[in-house]
Amino acid sequence: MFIDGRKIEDKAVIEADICIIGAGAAGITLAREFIGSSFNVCLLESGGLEFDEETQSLYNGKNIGYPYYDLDVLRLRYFGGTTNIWSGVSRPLDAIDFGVRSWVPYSGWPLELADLTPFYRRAHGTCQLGTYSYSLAENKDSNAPGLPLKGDSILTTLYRESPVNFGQAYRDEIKNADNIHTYLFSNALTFETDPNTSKVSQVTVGTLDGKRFRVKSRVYILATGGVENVRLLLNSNQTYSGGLGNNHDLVGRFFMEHLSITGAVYLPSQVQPMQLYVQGDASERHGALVPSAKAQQREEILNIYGALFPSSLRSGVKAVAPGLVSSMMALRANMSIDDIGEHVRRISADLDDLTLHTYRRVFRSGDVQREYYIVYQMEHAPDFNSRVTLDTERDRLGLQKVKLDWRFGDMERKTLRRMNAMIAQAVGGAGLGRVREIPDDGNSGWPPGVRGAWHQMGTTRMSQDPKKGVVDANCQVHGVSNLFVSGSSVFPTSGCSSPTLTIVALSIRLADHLKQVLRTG
Amino acid sequence: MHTTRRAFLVKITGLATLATGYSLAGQLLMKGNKTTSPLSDGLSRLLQHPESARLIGDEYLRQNPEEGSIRMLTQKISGTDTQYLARDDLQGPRAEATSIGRQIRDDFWHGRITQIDGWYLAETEARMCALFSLQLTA
Repeated sequence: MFIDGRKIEDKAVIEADICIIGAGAAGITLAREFIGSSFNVCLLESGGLEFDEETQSLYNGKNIGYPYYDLDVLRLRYFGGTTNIWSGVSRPLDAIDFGVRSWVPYSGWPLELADLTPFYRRAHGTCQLGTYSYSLAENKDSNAPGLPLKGDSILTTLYRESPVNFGQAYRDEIKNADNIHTYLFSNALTFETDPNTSKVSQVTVGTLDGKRFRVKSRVYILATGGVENVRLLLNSNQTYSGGLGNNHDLVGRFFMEHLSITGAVYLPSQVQPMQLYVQGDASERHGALVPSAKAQQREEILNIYGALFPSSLRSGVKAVAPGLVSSMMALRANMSIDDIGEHVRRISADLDDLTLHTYRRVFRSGDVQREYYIVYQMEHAPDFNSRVTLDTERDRLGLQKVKLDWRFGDMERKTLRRMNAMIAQAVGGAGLGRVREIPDDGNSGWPPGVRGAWHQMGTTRMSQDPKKGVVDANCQVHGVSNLFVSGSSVFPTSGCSSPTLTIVALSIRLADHLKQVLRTG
Repeated sequence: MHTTRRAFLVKITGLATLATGYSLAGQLLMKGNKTTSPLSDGLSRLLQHPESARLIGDEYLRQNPEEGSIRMLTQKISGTDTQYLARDDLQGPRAEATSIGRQIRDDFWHGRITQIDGWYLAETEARMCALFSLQLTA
């Protein structure tokens, strides 16, 4: 059932077996896994069922690092979270993403792809993605083949698009579940801990109209996103002055974002079968270019994929609204989500049209071909100093706001350059065309328009060693036996895949683990 | 059979279309200035947008001043095979086009790539532009 937290009696105490904080992709997935079980679940959601500016503004914070989006436009703070406007791009992480890579400092998960694959398969159901298949070899649609690239450095991979808006798709299911109690307009404020037991004893909840109540639960799962998870842990500093789970000063460090970069232009030599890359195949799978694991190792680069967008799309996209920030603005202007959903994924940098036009005359024989922008989504190398910390300023609920110091640099720059060169080599060597690197802006050393992809990861990273990570392989906060974290903040490395499918898979895995813990504990 | 520099240049002007369907030479088929010498006429058939080709050639020469002669560029394009330009199987525009096209693809495959204003080009095709640029000023 749904309960308006503002109507809860002040200073009330709610008891539960499982307290999930945040009703986004992770929180809703977790709650669904417990439907019909014997466990009493309390799901706390800061917002209501629709967008609300006042609640949204609780995300407000400062950026002090590489230019980034305003923090209060990045995530959506109501039931369904950011899946209310997500593009649905889904792809599992690659095997290489889980391993220790000597050229990527702090790399390595305490899991392997094989550990997560059964949960990816189940996540496919949650995300309504159909058969679990990302192999081009299984792409039987002859009308949408991959490019016959030369060599084995650059491969075509597949990604898929989930149609699921979690807030809408699972609202009734959650609402009608007897054992799931969803408290709307209910903001988790701080965890209180018992120093003798190293356990969370309760979580204090507040509403914007000043009410306070508490939830006492056997276990607590923090699922509020890569920045807010940090904020709650660091604000929970009554017992531990540095914040909860922060004995080794790791909470908030290693903030990662996928870098979204319009990095190159691909000019086909002739009409190529580009349908797979541009429109997808009959199974709604889309092609993208990736470096093979062997190439990543040989070149000592990060993981990255390049999606291809016909240049003709660009002006149209720009005219509607470029990217998610605009989508948020549209939302705030009371535009329908349906109006803005289509262009959400089409982020395109400003390019030098004149230069492009000049070279198009040289490199193409007629008008039968079109050029394609190669829009990359790049892994972010873990960086100890890329971090979220608390600001001195407080929000309406009395919590300290955050400061984000986003950093990236040489490894990402090298990856972009090498990827451009490898694609150029693969298409040139196969006689498929030429590639032009988009020049840097003469200031930052990056092409114009480098930005984050709205994926906030790494800030409560996973490691079996408490000195190297905030949570263990079961997503339990080190040293706090009944506190767990779900979401992309636990990723030790980001890979290049959009994170939601992995978030959902990890959430299902965590639910399985907790069922065991609660039955035996 | 000895192939003169001039003979080579005349030969490459026959590369109207390369087997790749896309080489710089094969794709420079746009409107261009009319020229009058036999050499220039031939190159014009090849490089129908000569201003742009010259831009590429000039930039290549700026980056590689040690290759700033027609003789050097000819050698570089021919490689170590001194008989390259005289082989019977290269006779005729199509045969040669296929060979040059293969050479360009081979450049890419073996990493013999140069970057000019952001474009990743095979060294062979960039040198052909440079050759064109030099002959304009010869």
